[in-house]
Amino acid sequence: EGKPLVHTTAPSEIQDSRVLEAKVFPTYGGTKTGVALLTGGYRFFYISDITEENPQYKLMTDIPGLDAPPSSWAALPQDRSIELLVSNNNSLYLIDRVNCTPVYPQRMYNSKGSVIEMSVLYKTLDIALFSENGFLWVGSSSLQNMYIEFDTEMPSPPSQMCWCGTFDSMLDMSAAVILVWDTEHLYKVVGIGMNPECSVHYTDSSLFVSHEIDGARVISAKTHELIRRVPQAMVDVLGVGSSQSGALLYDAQREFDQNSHKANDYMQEIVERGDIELAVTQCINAAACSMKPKLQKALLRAASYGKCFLANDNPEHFGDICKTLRVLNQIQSFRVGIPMTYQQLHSFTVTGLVQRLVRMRLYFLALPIVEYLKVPKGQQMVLSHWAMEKVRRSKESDEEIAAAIIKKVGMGDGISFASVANVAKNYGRTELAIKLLDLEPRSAEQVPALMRMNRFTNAIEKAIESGDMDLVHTVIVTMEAKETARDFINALKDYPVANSWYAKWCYLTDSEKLRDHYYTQDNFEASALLLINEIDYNGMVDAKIKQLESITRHFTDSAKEFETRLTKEQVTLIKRQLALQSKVPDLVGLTLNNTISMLIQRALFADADSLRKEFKIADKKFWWLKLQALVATRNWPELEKFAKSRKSPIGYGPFVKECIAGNNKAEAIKYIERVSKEEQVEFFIDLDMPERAAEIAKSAKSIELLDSVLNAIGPNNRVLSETINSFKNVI
Amino acid sequence: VSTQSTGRMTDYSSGGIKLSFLKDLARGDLLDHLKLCEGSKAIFWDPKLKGPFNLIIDWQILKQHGVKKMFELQDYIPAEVLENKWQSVIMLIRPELPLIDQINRAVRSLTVAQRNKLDFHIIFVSRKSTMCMQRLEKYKIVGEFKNILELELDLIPFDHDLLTLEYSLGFREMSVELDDSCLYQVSRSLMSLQSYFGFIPNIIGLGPSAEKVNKMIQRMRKEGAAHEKPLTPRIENLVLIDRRVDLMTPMSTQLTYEGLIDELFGIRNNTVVLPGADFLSDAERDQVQPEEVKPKHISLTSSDPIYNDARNLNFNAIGPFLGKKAKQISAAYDEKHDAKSLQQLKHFVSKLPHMQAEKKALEVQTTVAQLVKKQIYNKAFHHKLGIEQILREGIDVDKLNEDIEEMIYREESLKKVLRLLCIQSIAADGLKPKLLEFYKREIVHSYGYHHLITFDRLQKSGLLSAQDKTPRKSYPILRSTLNLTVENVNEKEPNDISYTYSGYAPLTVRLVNWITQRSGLKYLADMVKHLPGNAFQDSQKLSATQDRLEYSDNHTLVYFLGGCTYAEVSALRFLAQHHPNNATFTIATTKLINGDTLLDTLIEPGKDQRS
Repeated sequence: EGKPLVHTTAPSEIQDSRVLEAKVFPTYGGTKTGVALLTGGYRFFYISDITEENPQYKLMTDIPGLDAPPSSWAALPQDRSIELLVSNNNSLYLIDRVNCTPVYPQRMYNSKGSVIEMSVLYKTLDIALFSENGFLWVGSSSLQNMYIEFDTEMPSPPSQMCWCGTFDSMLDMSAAVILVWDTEHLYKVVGIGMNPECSVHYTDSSLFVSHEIDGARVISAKTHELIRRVPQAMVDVLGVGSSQSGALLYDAQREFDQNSHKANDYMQEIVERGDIELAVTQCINAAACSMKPKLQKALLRAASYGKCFLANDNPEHFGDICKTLRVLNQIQSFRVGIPMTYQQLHSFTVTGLVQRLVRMRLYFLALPIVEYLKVPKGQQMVLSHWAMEKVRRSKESDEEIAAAIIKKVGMGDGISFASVANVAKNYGRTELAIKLLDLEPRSAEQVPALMRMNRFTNAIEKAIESGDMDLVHTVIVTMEAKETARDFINALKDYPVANSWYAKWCYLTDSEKLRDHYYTQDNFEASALLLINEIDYNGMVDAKIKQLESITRHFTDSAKEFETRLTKEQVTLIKRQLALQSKVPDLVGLTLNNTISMLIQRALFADADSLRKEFKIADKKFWWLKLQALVATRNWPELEKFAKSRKSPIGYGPFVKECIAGNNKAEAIKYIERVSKEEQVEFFIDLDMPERAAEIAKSAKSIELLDSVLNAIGPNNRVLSETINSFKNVI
Repeated sequence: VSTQSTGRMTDYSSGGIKLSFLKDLARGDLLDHLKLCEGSKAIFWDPKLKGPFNLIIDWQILKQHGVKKMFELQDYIPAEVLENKWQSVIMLIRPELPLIDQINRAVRSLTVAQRNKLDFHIIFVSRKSTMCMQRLEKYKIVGEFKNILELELDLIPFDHDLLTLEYSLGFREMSVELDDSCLYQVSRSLMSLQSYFGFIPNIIGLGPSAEKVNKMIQRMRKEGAAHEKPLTPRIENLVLIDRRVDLMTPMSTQLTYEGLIDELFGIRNNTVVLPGADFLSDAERDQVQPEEVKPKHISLTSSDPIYNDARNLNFNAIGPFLGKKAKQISAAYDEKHDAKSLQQLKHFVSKLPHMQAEKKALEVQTTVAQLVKKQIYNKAFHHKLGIEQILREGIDVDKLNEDIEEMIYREESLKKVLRLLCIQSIAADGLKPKLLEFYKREIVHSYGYHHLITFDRLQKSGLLSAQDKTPRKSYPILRSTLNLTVENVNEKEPNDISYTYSGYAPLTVRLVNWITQRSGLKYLADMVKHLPGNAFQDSQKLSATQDRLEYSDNHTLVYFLGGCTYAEVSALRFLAQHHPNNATFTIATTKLINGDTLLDTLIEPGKDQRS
């Protein structure tokens, strides 16, 4: 984006002394870009990825006796490292980080003197070397294979040397090397093959060549030309005298247009060969190679003519090529000025093209292209770039810019509003940034961005909205660190979800902090409940009473009258338990009911009674407690006394029930007459005395009760069953 | 729901929605993660995760992937890990702080030299949290871990129609603590379901949590808009139900076979653990010492030929059902005598393995049924059911219930008391303040002062409440209009979902019935105003390229936020079987609960017991 890269890790030698020369080359299989540097001290450094934030500058070994710039050098990227080929004083050296090896190119017979120009074809790691005497040596970069050695017949060193196309094999002369003598206004193209060919071209201005995978661009003051080997696909169809099926189809279509019967003859031939599909493909591929719309059209017409003869045709390839060619023809126009072949686009990728277009701010073109070619995420890419530019350049008000962006981009179409907002923030337009962030649907981007702008309330709001408590947590923690305690507490107060989360977190990590928090928020009830949680039931009594008293205060402050009363009761209970400690140890900490039970179990009836009065315990409850405690200690005489003391407020059923549970039949029977007949029947069944049960049921004259006895005894007790049935008959 | 299934049901399908692939995905993810941990491995489990993972992957597969042994996460690394020179130590945990503390102790139990011999890894389920990472940093042990990974595991298929997050504290978080963590996970699970089954066109929500989840999924959809895949919707409706809409149901005692097993013995991860002695044959019983008998683990899923049919029945129908099955099986065995020709005999033999499996399953289930019977055929249980019923019918709910009072004085199980008390409070639309205070005071006197905290939570959750000055009459209205309490219910051949609670129909399922029969909330307007929070109906746009097409079936995903009971699941299965519009259901829940397990998350244990 035109920004200088600043590497603070650069060694002092680079920062101090001048960099004489730099060479850029692809690394990591073409995914990254590296750069090698020659310093004023004649030493070489390289970094393997220029986009890295703090790249490591690696130093290469020294070349012996190098005290002036070398006559030429080149970088040879290997798998994980790089090597440099350096020419100095008639010798070639291959250096890496430890070794410096003199090397000698194979079969270099005629080249004499130093190598003064080098050019590497990175894709295949081939190299061209130009020597002082005008000879060109081309071979593998290992220098072990020589492809050609050729006399350029030029006495002066070339101003530029560059590969043209990609080298496949010696046989088809797929690549060439272009040598430029700028001052002479000429360049020579040396084809690499079994019989190297050379052509000379003259221009009327100085020129520059650049490598392409399928050729080279030659750019002069007025022209921009592409030099390439004629693609095989075009030769197949358009080559003079070609007898390929594609060529026949092309001719057939032209004849057809002229209403000539020859069309039929050609088609007949293709059909006989069984080649229609091949013919169609050849025409399509030839069209893809062409850069002239007229020719493309003609070839595609031929292809579509051929398609009529195909039974099962997959239209995808044809469609793709048509669409891509339309795009290529568009960008070739002088208004855009990016002439490109189909093959170049293929390797450059459409995404790459779109990126270039947006950098040229050709949004009007980029947007239809991504839509037309259905580029994944293309729309977002174009629109977010547009939005960022809008933010950078527009002088309009925040509202207007935000509105314009919303209008064009729509809501939530996947563009990163957070990154657009970041641009706004960097341009000092904070308000706009916040407006834009409001549109960002991805909370994980939105919230941190708001925090970076210290917009904590916005951030907490959005975090809560997202439901992602992890995000809420992050905001709270950041806020707590950055804001004053006062501001922090106040901010939380407005957001119950955040407040509650903070409390939960404190509870897990630091309850001291939580107590302070409730205190500053005047949340008395929560303070009280927190304290209840902290009561140490095994601790010292005094401490416990103190704790309970402060709980009482908190409840009073929060106007919780009932809870206050209960807590005060708790204090009284502990004090009474303390007082009774001499008679019954270990009372402290028991519940009120258990305390009373314990006293009754120890036959301390008077003490139990005084607790009853003090805590205003209802008769019913007291009777229950006493009944259970007496049965538990099997204090039967006392139980009888108790039962007779006055009329039981809970009836006598519980007496029977508890005695049965306490496994004392005799005691149970003592009370059984004081309950209703229905209950008596039930209890006698429980006591395993079905005869008595039957008698009671009979006396109650209840068929229902008799049936329940029948039910309980089951079919095996014949005698009783008959008796009961006879009772039933009587009734 | 495929309800009329007889026999084996291994196919996890319901209404054409296959859920088993969720297991495959989770298993694949786990194995991918294990591949990142080199060499022989020892896994340390968060105890809460072991059960769910058991449903996804078995030991044999783990063994094949280099796992040597599994441990429960503890405060130290057992010596055998070092002795056997195992390379990787993997902690598999949910992102909870106490577990991080434990990991810290475990790592520090080793010397630096010992640590250097091992690779430590953490796998967080489903996400690592900032809170946990900060804690690891605070302990300065982040550097010890070679990998800190996340394993996406939300909904676990428990059966062909049942998914659960197994998120224990969900109800407490959403209703007491204002914590949306569980709802966020619900939303994520819905997004991932929708990425397989397409966007669900209709969303109906009941209660505040439902509204939150709906907002979250709409938001998440916007976040992921760029990656949307065009998918034909396979699920027509999503019904989100906040547990707070119906608290009566979980507080009531489930009376289906499966529900009762859960109430009495607790079903965890489709498994119930019962005393082993009951499952021994007489001969075996003579041979072994009682104390040597190991508890019996019984898997309760639809792949069990007997249980699959029995689980949804009312318990009173179980006896006849098992008897009928026994007869069928012995009749099948008798066919052997009828088999005259070789052909017939061959046919008989081919059926044998299936018959034997059925017979074995029948024996097991008969024993389980006897164990259940032992627990419920007594006065106390019937007494409790009687109180529940009276309260649910709204009889004397504004007065002190003397039976509950007596239970408190007798210090019976607190959960039993609280369940009845909550039922009374719900039926009365809140207890009169004085009455509530009375109960509270008695409970404090009986069970301890710290239960003031329990009450605070119960009231925040809505399980217990004090009546407003002008009492609402929500429950009576819902009860009568939705016919919640049903008299003379036929338990053996039910014609209504109220059989699941012997006379009480779960409100949630009644609502689902209305929604799926009468297209949404339209006719429910008068009723939903009596439910907590808002009820809403929303529709989701399908993805742009996605055609709206006719549904092969009327499939509804019912998602319970805060848990659902087994009886509710049974009721929904029954509903599908008898649905006039042939609706089918997939049931999802944050957790399978019953009244006790729900209260367990709310009752304050008291500090003395905790430490």
